[in-house]
Amino acid sequence: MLEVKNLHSGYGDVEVLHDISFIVENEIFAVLGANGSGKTTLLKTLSKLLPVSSGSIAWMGDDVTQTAAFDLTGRGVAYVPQEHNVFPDLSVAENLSLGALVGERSKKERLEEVFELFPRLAERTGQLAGSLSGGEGQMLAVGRALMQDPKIIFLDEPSAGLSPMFVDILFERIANTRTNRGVAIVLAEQNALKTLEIADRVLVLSLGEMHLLKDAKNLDRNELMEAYHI
Amino acid sequence: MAYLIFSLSLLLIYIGLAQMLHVQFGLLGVPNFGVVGFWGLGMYSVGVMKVQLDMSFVDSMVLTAALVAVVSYVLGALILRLERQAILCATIAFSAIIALLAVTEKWMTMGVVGLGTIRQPFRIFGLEEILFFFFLLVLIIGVQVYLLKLHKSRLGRLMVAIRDNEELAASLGKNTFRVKIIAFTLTCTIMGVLGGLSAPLNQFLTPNMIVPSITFAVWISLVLGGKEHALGAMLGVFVTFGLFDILIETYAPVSPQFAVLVPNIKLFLYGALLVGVLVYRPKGFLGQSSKADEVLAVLGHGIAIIGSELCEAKNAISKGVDRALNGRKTEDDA
Ligand SMILES: Nc1ncnc2c1ncn2[C@@H]1O[C@H](COP(=O)(O)OP(=O)(O)O)[C@@H](O)[C@H]1O
Ligand SMILES: [Mg+2]
Repeated sequence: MLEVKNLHSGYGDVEVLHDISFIVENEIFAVLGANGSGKTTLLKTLSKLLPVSSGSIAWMGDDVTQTAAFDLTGRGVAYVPQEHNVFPDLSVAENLSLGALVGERSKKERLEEVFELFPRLAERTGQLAGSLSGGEGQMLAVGRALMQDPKIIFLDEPSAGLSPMFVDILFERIANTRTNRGVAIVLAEQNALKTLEIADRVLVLSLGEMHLLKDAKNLDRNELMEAYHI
Repeated sequence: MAYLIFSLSLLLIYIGLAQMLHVQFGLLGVPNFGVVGFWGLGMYSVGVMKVQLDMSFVDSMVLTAALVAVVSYVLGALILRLERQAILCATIAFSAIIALLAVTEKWMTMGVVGLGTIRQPFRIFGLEEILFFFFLLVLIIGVQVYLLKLHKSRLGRLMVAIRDNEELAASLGKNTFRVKIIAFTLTCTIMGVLGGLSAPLNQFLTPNMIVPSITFAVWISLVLGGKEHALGAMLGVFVTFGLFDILIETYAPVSPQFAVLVPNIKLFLYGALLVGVLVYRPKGFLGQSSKADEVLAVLGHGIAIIGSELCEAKNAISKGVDRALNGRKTEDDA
């Protein structure tokens, strides 16, 4: 589905990602790495919020290396940033309905599905998103992404700052989304052990370089540690 | 009576400007600090077309709208990708350029000599002013109805999303830059049209009408009323321009010796109101929550007004007392 070849990108003149190549199929594709290893930069580049300096990105067979971010959204790509991932001055319902700016199905139908997955959001439709707790905000951000009826979701550290109980719920819903709705997920995380429970494949970044790309099943823990600390 | 109609018409023009700023800043987060530039461009454009080219009012309004649209589109294309502070500076610079052009391009504008007379468009003897007032009233009410609808629409939500977090809004699937530049061009054009409508209101145009204090008055009105609320612009202009410039300045019962003080007292009360509102209702009369940095910025402005008015008032009082005691003019007046 998503094919990344020899990707380089960064901020202005500073190159952060060096020569990244991988393919994501319909799966949960985990991007692991320590703080500052380049996970967020990778997801932003894939969503085209950062320009590609060299290399290419193909989505569903089309070259999207130069495509604008809003255009990519129309083609079934959703992005949930690590921080500031809801619109604080809008209500829960308004945040969700903004997700429905793209896609064919009726908004009502999509809303019902999101509320089924996150019943807590249904209780708070009128509340301003800025006043939600961290966990509820994260649910809203994922909910809004699902409202876009995406084929793939780029999810940046959804567990950051959440209580372990919330992380469990959230990860269960993410795995559930993958299985029941057939949405591919690229999941950037620091929380490696939790992520390995639901991931199909794992990419480890360190200092912006690829250090490991493997099936999650036959991944040896020492191997993972080694890739992290280079 | 005629003066009241004039003041009320001006009040409507201010409401219109504040309504447009509400869309730009309140909804989209674009801090246009060059309001007077778009207004002044429209006013002078109609003035030049009517006086120098002897065009009809309707023709000059249509051409003016087109001119302001092109200018604001080009300006928007240049600045709307920049950071907010940069947009703020660029728009101030734009209005300064317009004010300068009005002085220097004498062949069109007559420079400081002034341009006139621009007659009312409705040529019904004795009713011209009042008809024009009602024309403005219908226009402003129309805009207000549209704003109330906009707030409940998808476009309105998308604008707030762009203001809150443009990067995230870009991933919603709509071209956010296009939304910004279309909205900016349209609202600036309407500011220009309001300027064009101010030309027959003022009848005689001089470059010193294009002063930054108009931009500030519109900003303060909007912030006082509640910049994010659909009715904030209207309420804000009523309590500032309406209350102070019309009610207090025109109808406050003061003896002639101290009439000279009225503008100072007015501005003093104005500053006090601004400080009071921002302390107790930081998002304006119609706002809900608060954002500390913006509040502080405007609070500073209010305190500055009070400070400068106290100094002015001190001078004015001594002048007034002097006049009352000696019954003669001071050197300053000579
Ligand atoms: N806006 C930015 N400008 C310049 N460098 C940045 C910016 N954001 C992140 N970086 C740098 O890019 C590197 C990778 O950061 P990031 O992608 O956020 O890592 P992660 O998400 O894995 O924690 C870090 O060295 C960081 O300092
Ligand atoms: Mg990150």
